[in-house]
Amino acid sequence: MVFFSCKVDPKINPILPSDDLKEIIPPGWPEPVYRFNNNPIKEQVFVLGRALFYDPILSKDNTVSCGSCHQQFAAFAHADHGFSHGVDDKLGTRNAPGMFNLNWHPAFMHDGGVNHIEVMPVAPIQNPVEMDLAFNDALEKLKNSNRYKKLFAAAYGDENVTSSRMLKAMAQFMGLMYSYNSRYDMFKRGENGVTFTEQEQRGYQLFLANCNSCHKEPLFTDFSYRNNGLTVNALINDSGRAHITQLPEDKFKFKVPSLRNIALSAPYMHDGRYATLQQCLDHYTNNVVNMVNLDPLLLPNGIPMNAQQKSDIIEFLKTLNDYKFIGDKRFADPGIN
Amino acid sequence: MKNIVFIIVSMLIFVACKKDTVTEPTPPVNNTPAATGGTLKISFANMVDSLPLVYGTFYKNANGDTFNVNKFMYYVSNITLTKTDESVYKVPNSYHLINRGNDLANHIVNLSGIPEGTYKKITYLIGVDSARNVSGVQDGDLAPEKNMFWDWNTGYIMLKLEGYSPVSGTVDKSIQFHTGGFKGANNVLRWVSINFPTNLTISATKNPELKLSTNVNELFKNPNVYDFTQDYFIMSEGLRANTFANNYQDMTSFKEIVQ
Ligand code: HEC
Ligand code: HEC
Repeated sequence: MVFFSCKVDPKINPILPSDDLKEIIPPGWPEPVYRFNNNPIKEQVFVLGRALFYDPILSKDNTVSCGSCHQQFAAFAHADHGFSHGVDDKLGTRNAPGMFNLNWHPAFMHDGGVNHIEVMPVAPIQNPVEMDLAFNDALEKLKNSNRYKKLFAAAYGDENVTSSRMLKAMAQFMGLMYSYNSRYDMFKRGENGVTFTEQEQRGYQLFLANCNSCHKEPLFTDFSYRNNGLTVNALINDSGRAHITQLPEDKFKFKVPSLRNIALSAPYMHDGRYATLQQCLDHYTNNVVNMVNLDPLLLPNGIPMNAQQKSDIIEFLKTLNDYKFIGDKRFADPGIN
Repeated sequence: MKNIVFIIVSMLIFVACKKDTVTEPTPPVNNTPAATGGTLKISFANMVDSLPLVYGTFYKNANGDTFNVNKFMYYVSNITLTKTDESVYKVPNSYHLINRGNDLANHIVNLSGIPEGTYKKITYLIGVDSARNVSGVQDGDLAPEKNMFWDWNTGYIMLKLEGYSPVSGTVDKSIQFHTGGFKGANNVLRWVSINFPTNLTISATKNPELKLSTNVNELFKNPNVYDFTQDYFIMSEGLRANTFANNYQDMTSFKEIVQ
């Protein structure tokens, strides 16, 4: 008995690193929206947040975790899934975006419906096509778990499992996912002698001329809601931002996504309709529909580019892959569930 | 044509909805609890006209529709108390979910540290102020597990009434009214001000009770009469939530002060 209770429980001893955690604002970046106010960065809080993120305990039938749809190798998007499937393999109607630099987002989701990183997990936990668990029940499951009692105690000094502690820990884990070490970043910082090839250089200039007004450096989004001329899928009829604001002028507008790590996070667009970057570029040259609320920047004929220019831009976009980020063991699945 | 009808209808609603506008008390407002202050117990009794609200019991609304209630909860926040000398005390951090549940006792809010003196009026917000809707996870009565929180368009449900009416247009004959929205035209927050016909004395040696009473039928009566065959469901912010908020802004009234 004594022997048993002395046994080290591997479940509460994280094997993964969780060191060197701090708020980062890379030089030249704007001030983040979320500054960890009332949520001081602490290793054990991060470890708790990571455990929760990768634990299917937050789903109705213990099969789906946040990490099921947000995969690190895809910069926390859902690789190869146009629509993400949740419990019972139910399909949603939107594509899971990548997750990084979330502290700069004024609002979350393709329609901006979620206004704060700390309340972000509530929606996927309760969503019937994602984890399908009433938030109360999720909290109850954690309260009944000895493993979580210990993780909460390590993080907060006592075993009390509260929603505020839970959500702050998850916000801390997600908020500390910074992506700022792509080749593009090193090139801009003049680090490690990184240079751009001629093609990448051309692609960068074309990007600045044609894309940067929406996918704005350094975050590669201006976080506005816009319509980039995608045909409306009649089966889903996703009204985008208007779903939240109920304003006709927001109909079919979606949050401009960041293009960091974009080559790693196919498929593309809010409904995952495009499988490749080539298709995205072809969209801007050939398929922009002149519909209600189409962004004026795309009038009259989308963005004219020839084949060479498009492949130049794609080469540039690949420089935004941050391999240090997707290989950072601190954000990996602790594999203890 | 449809638009014109819509504009006229909304103008009618607008005119009909004009009740006395109550606003937040203006500074100077004291919001430091007094070290030797007194306490105040505020009780909210839920009524349906002259009858106490009992979940599951059938009543009639102003339109004559039969209905019952199985959930009725709302937020009261930013409580301020005004003295007879017009000075104002704002209770710090006051967010209260008024939810009597199945318990027939009145819902009680206990306040302490109120500066001593003679008070003539209480003012508060029905709902949760916009700041707390956008500041991340909150504790206590504002915790997300209280089920007064929209997760897809994040923000608090300010008032929730659910029940049953045999005339409801839903398949299961439920009636569901959830209001939310704290920005611009969709703002359903309403200030309420209740004068005391007799003064309320707060002192360190007393434990007075302010009894208020909330009339569920007021939600469906004035200025807009709700017909449950047509209007039985509100689940998002917007014009309909706002119209409903105009109805319920004066649902609570003074009952008595027990000194
Ligand atoms: C079934 C797949 C699935 C699961 C499980 C899931 N998500 Fe998501 N996630 C999505 C989809 C799809 C979206 C986009 C939804 C939308 O825009 O309506 C999304 C959006 C997000 C975003 C917003 C990103 C942005 O750029 O705005 C964050 C943050 C996020 N999820 C975190 C989480 C967390 C935390 C969990 C676990 C509690 C979780 N997700 C579980 C599929 C999933
Ligand atoms: C008028 C603003 C605007 C311009 C200009 C613009 N985009 Fe976009 N872009 C958007 C919006 C909005 C979306 C999201 C649409 C959706 O999900 O429905 C998007 C989505 C994308 C996506 C998919 C991202 C993802 O995560 O799914 C790619 C790739 C992309 N744009 C590349 C480009 C490139 C390359 C250019 C320049 C040639 C460009 N865009 C110009 C607004 C713009």
